[in-house]
Amino acid sequence: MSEQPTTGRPVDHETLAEMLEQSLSEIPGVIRLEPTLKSTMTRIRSVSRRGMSKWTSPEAETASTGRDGIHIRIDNRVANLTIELATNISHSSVETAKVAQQVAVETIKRAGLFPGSVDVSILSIESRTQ
Amino acid sequence: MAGADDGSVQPLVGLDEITVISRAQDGDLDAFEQLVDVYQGRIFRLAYRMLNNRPDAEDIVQETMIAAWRQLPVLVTPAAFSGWIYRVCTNECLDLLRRRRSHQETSWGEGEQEPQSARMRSPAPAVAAADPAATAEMSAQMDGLADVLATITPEQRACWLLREMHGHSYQRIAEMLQISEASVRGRIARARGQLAEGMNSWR
Amino acid sequence: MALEDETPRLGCGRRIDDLWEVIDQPLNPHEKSCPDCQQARVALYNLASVTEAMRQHDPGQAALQPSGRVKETIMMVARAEVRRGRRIQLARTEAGTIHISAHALAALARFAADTLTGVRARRCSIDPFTPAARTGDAVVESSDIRITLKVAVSSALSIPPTMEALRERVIAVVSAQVALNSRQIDVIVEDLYDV
Repeated sequence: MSEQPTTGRPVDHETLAEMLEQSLSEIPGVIRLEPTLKSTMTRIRSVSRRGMSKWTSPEAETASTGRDGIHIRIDNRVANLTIELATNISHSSVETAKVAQQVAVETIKRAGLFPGSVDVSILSIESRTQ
Repeated sequence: MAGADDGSVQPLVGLDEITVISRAQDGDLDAFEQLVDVYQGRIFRLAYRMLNNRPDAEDIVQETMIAAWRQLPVLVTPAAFSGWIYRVCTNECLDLLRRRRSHQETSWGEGEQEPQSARMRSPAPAVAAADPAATAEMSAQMDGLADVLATITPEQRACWLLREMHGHSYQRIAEMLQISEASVRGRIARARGQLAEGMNSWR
Repeated sequence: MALEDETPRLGCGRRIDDLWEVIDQPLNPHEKSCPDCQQARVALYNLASVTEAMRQHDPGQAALQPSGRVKETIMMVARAEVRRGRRIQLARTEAGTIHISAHALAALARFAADTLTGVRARRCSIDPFTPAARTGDAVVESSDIRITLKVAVSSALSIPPTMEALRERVIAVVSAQVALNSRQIDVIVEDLYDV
């Protein structure tokens, strides 16, 4: 494994987000990437009168830019991330967060980018598995 | 008279309601979901009987519960939650009816209610009573009452529903609607008089 | 509206309220001779029985429940709007920082309390010890927080040993996730409940 990012065209935001979503969800101890106001509000623009069907419609889904629990900023091929997690109580949340950082760093490299800071916030610790 | 509201008691998985409300105040989603389970049916029935329109009643439930979620952290006494939520629901219904009325004054043609055929008729009770004819008769009478209910003023209807369908005391209703107990008493007596009369001619 | 306060009366001058109160009782001498009362009585009696039928009928009707979508939307909004509170820094690694939200920590403390029979966790607050941190940065170090947990306890239990077990349990569960010492946790019994 090379320490350098693979050469070639780096991926865009959306692809990196998708790769992260995939790899982070597979970590034992991660229950889910936690939706926050930022990522969800785009989907629920209108919750009041007659707005109920809006956020479930496919258009609204694809129009949303934020992905649950992942915030990405890319400057000069350096990717800075904030990851928000719900973790399983049977794992130490700090250890789970450290694994998430490592996995994220590897994923950024696989995407042809350089890892900047990877900050992890634990927003929920739960006893159930989902 | 049934106690505070209805027979569809869904126990808060063995917890007292104050505990569940306290947790929801701290932002506990599971606790809040339990409150939604307990209250959504009650306030839907109130809103539906107030508005005679299912989508509107569903909107009211949604707005009321979301308002509850936002207000819970600042609610000082957890025990006040139930009264608070009925108050918000009732006021939302009255506001909507006022908007409908002012809308009707400016534009013709749009009926206040859904067409008769689209409205819900009382289905026969699931458990067949000994006398099917009596059951059908009572079912028809309930439909009649629902129709007559739509003819009294929204303020009277709100008081009557809170008292007769939801089991709240005059004093509690007065607190919810922020009017005097005498007004509540007057509205309910007036509602009963008009409903009785309406039912009579309906028969 | 002054009219609103006036109690409606029958033709004979009697208040509808008064007649309603005695609807189940036999006719009194006035009612026996008053056509207004007799007519109103029949109508009100019928209303009372249909009202009772509706009260019994409505709660059990699937058609009088909101659709599942309503709750879905409510919970979606609630989840999106969870107030996470301040963040507590747990570690800083080569890659970046690791934080936990005060909301998650409070939930953990409540969960720990709930594992003891006879204890029901209620509200839990997480505050910085240092007064300056209370108003300043939303991030605090884990060594600088105080957890205050309020609980209701079964009236069948003796409080002192329960409190001791409760403190131990909360400390054990919380410190497995966040390094804390026992001074940082306060437990308050605010209510007793009957079994």
